[in-house]
Amino acid sequence: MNRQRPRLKNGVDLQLQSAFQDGNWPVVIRLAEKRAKTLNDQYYELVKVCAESQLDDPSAKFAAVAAIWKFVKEGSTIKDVDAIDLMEWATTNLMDPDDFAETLGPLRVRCVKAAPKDKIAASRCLESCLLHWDLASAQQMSPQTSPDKRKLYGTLAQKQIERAAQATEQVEADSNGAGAKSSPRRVKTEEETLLLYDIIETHGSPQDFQKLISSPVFSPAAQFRRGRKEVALRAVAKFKRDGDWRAVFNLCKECLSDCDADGQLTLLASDIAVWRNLIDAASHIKDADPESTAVIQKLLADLLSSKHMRPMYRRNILLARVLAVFQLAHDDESDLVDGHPSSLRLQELIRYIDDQYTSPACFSDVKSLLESLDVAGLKYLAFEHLPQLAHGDSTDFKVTSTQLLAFKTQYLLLTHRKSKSRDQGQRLQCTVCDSTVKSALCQTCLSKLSEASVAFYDSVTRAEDVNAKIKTEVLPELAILIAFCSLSLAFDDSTQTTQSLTSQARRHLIRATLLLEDQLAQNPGHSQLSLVLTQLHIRLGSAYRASDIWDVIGVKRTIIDSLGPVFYDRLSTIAPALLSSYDSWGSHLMDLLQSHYQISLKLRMPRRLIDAFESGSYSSVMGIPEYIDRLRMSCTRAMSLAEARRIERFLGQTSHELESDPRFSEVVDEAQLIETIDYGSFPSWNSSTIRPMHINLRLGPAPSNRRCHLSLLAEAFHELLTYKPPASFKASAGSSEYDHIYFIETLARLSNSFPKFLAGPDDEMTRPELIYFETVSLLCTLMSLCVEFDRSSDIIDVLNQIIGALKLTLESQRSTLSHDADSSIERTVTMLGSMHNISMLRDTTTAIKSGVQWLLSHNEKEKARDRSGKSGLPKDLVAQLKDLQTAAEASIKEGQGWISKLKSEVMSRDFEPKLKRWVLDGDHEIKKILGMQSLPGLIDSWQSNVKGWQQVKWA
Amino acid sequence: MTTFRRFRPDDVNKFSKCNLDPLTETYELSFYLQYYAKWPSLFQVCEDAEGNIVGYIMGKVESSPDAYKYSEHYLPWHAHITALTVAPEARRQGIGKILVEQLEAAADAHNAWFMDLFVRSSNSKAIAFYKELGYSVFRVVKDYYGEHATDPDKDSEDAFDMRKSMKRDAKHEHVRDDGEKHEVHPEDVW
Repeated sequence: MNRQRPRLKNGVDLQLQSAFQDGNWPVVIRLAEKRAKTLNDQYYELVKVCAESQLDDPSAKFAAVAAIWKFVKEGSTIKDVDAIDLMEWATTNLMDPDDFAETLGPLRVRCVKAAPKDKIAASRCLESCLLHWDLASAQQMSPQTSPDKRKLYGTLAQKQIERAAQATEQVEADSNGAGAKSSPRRVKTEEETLLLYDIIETHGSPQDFQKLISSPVFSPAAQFRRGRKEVALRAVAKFKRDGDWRAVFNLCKECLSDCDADGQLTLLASDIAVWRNLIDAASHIKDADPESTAVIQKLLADLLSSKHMRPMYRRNILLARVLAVFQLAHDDESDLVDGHPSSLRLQELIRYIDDQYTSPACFSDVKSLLESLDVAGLKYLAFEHLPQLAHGDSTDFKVTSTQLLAFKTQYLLLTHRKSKSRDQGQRLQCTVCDSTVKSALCQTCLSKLSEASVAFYDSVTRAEDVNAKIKTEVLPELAILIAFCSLSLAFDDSTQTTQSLTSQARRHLIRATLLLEDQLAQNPGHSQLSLVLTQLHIRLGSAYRASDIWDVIGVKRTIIDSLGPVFYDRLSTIAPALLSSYDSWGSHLMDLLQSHYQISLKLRMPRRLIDAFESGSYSSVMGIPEYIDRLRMSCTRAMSLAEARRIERFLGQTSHELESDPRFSEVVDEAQLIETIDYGSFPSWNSSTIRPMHINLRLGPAPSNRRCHLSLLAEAFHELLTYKPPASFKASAGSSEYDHIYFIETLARLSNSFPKFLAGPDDEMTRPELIYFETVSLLCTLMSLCVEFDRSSDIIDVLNQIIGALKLTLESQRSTLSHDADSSIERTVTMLGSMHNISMLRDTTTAIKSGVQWLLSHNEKEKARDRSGKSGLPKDLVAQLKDLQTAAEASIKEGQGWISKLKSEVMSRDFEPKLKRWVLDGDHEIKKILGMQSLPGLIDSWQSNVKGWQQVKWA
Repeated sequence: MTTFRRFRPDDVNKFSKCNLDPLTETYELSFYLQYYAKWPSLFQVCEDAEGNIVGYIMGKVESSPDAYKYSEHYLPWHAHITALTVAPEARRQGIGKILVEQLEAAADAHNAWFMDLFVRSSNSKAIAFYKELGYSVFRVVKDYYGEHATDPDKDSEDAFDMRKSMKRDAKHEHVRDDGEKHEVHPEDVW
């Protein structure tokens, strides 16, 4: 509970209070013992026990833990709630949090039952049980104490709240409200109404729910009229789950038709979610109710004339009008006839665009609708209608922002599968320029778009007195669009994200990086530029520059869970020294990642849960534990540990035991880790028929349940082989036997766990990661089998096969570092961008080397123990193991050689001019606006990384 | 293309559009959960079609501690705007106004006398925004902020405590026209 030292209860004499506050434990023990005898009060006995627990003597330290277990087993009761609080404090960090439900939880229940009228004690005990999420004990503190009566509790809750709801209905029905004061407890607040819905939904019958939604007071529409929107949204969700589309339609219609006292439509329900629900419902019922479409049209017209109109509501209503046409009108007509908009949906969409094209959100508003048009319709908008709208002076904000919208729409079309068709010879043809194309993207069209965007960018930036809004709102997105055209060529569908990039693709990446760096210098802290650049730098192996950019955008605290993986995932494999805890910058970066979990998950449940109870916020009482449980199982949290451990291993830094870290101990094999990444701020302008750019730019798949489990298991394997007890620890006789048993059991557990996560789709990790995890899994199996080696069995073939497989994994890992580079600069740039693969090679070789080393040493011990020659591994097998070890050592030397060579190349004087020539080589329109001022920064970042790699321990 | 609704804890995983803006502070989780736990109807969000949060408002209802009951600075039961943010791409659409109006409706439901908020005296845009919504300066809290937002030579900045009467204050007893002349010190603000 509270880790700060508590105060002793009121009434305790000053002498004992002072000794306790001063931490003078021998005096506390003496005085408490004396008081216990004199006053015959159990409280003082427990003060003594708690004081003993503060001593350094290991046997005394567990006095409070032992006392608690004794109370539990004997079935005795600690009657004083202050004493239990003290015991809880004294055993913090000494008992497993999961033991609470078997120890302090039941003791608190007994305490409450012993004094049922003591509300203060009851509430303190309830609070503690909730914070430890011991719901079984918490529930027993209610007046009904019978266990396993979930149904009974449910029924009681339903009956109680229904009674309260009826009381409300009666009072409301009584027009003069005379009965209000004398009536029993009523359902009054919005939170209570939501609780009513929760209970009826969970424990009631369909008839009960029907009765509720028909209530004159509690029906969703009646609640909405009181301004309680949440109840209505809850009901709509329930109707949708039940497939009751008529009810969805009626409720949404009723809410949208809500009027204020002056008879004006309130617009409170005019959200896009409500409109979508209404339109969805109409699409389901329109055959049975042909009038439903007309009802929607009338509602749209009425709401547009409301006096409460705001631009946001207007946008929602106008868009709802377009959505209604797309979803409810016939969709079999051509969008364009004789070069003119023909279909109703295209006409409506044009009406919307003509009204909203100056809004920065216009493109994202219509993106999915644009994709629903046929190719002629989309082409018309992209290349005719929008450019016409954008006609005018390029220094005018309206003109430039509309031109940007036109370019984005063209980019959407060019990245859409619809823009390609098969000609008679089954060759793929671009429907925009009619040329034959080799892949899903037309290089000619993308180059043309890039050329036009570059020319426009150039003309805008060359103008005198560029409008500040153009500088902040148009130019950054225009630069991103130009970069995306280049990147789309780099990630053409012939290239898989998990495979290494071609040299040409890397050149596209570097050009895009330099362009966006120049733009970021004009718009410091711009979030979209910063996020794309962070990904680009990590992909290129330039993590030091990525860290500078990341720091400026200030991702910290609560949002680290959803954004952290963008920067931190696999960072340890790119630039291990960047996050070194011996370096203030590294510590700062790691602290940003880890402190959120340390602070937010300090207790099993946060104290805010008690706030929710005390405030009667019932929906929050449910919502907080759900969220905290998900946060505990977050992939980002597991990733934060895996990254930290790898860095420590790479840099040979000491660390705490893995088992003692809750990020490890709470992730049992059955735990389902949850992936949460917020890509909302990344520019998403590709069509939905190809991968989003932020997925292409990632170094590999996002953290997943499988990869996180495998990463933690692999860390456990490394710790098992490298663990050394602290120097101060003195092993007792026989402890080495226990150590050996622990070792063998852990190995068996790992051997059992790995296969559970190795099987699965290929797209959840990079190929080098998969090879590495397979290697560790094979090693666990090999070591387990060798330890239990039985000469009489046929196991020898299996062992030979595993050793053969391990040699293959080593080869496979080395092969991921082969590349197609022609020149030395291409080789260098490729190698700089392949640090992840080098790290995986390093981890694979280290795992093999230390695993085999342990086996050989274990074999020697076995042979020394039993000189009969019957124990130990056969000579052939030992020779195979030594071969494997030699191969691992050779790979280690090779890896070290690569790093040394890379260092000499990157630090050489001619690296910058060679790189510059290579980047600017060939024709590409982007060069016109590429300043190259950012090149030294990129080189600095690479140099820092290569220098950092000198600190990596390879063996 | 937006929807207004109450905050849910999962929304923090969709905060980036708002919170990557340098003017929006990201707090510890417990801060958001405190508002969600105590005043759930006063924590409203605006989400776009993809579920990204493009605006949110956090508010609370409270009064000064009873110990200050006879102080001239005592604040009766009132609502307070703690944070209001709208993502850059979603500005100029009236989202901020809608969020404030929704909070005012919740404040009326809680029977608050008035709504108040603090704003930097240099933040003319925010001041104009609130004035347009009917708020006025009630008092000036001298040197309330530790640094000046626009002038690096100054090491502090005044805050405007702005207020608007809610329905309960039908006679407008809790607002004043000449608030900019009423100066108080940070220690008078609880």
